[in-house]
Amino acid sequence: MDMPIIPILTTTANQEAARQAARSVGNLLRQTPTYTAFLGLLEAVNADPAVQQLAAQMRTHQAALQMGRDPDQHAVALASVEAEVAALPVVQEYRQAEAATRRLFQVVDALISQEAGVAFAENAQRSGCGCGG
Amino acid sequence: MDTTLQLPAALHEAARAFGQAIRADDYVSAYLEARARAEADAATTELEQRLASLYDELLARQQAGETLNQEQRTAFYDLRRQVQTQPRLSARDEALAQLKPVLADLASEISATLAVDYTALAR
Repeated sequence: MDMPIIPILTTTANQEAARQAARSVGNLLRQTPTYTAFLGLLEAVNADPAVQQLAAQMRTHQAALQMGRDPDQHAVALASVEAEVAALPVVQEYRQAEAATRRLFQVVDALISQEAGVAFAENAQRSGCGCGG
Repeated sequence: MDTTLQLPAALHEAARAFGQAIRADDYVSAYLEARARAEADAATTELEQRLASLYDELLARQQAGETLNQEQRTAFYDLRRQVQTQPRLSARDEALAQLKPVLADLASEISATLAVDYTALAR
């Protein structure tokens, strides 16, 4: 079978059909109440003043830890703020919605993978840049 | 995974159709053929299973606080080299490496529709 060396740059009729099928799956997932609730709560968490205030405190402690300033003190403070964030009702609701969305996506992915003959999401994840540094 | 979760009929059908469209791709066919060739050879599968067993054993020892000696490390790297250079296994791995960008491209179509990374939530 002759195939191009760089698959991403070529589009066969099959691949275009698969793209359209992918968009259909995305559109139908987007319309589910589970995903709608998840997205709404994601926006609510991001807009919540208490979350924003605590996130700013977390960034301060994380920056101090990266610079090695009073690491013990900042580690304890960071864990405390993280616990405070996790205890917020809006964050707890978000975590529940996220878990429900994961369950939905995993069931969909299992079905896709079963038909495809290859684990889809597992093999579709883009690798990191691996640029080193 | 929650196997009891009932998908809406349209989503169920769309997921199946998408999976079938993936399977029709030449890169998937090439990978499935290479994988079948590797799995059909008993010596090849035994070699790969031996590497997995050795990896699990050495990892367990390390996690138990043992420091691996030179002989153990050499045995592992020798076996890994044998697996990496075994023609059927390297053909399968090469076919999968060729396939992954195609799958990533398709997943990005779903992610773009959802505005979140599909692969991060589906794994």
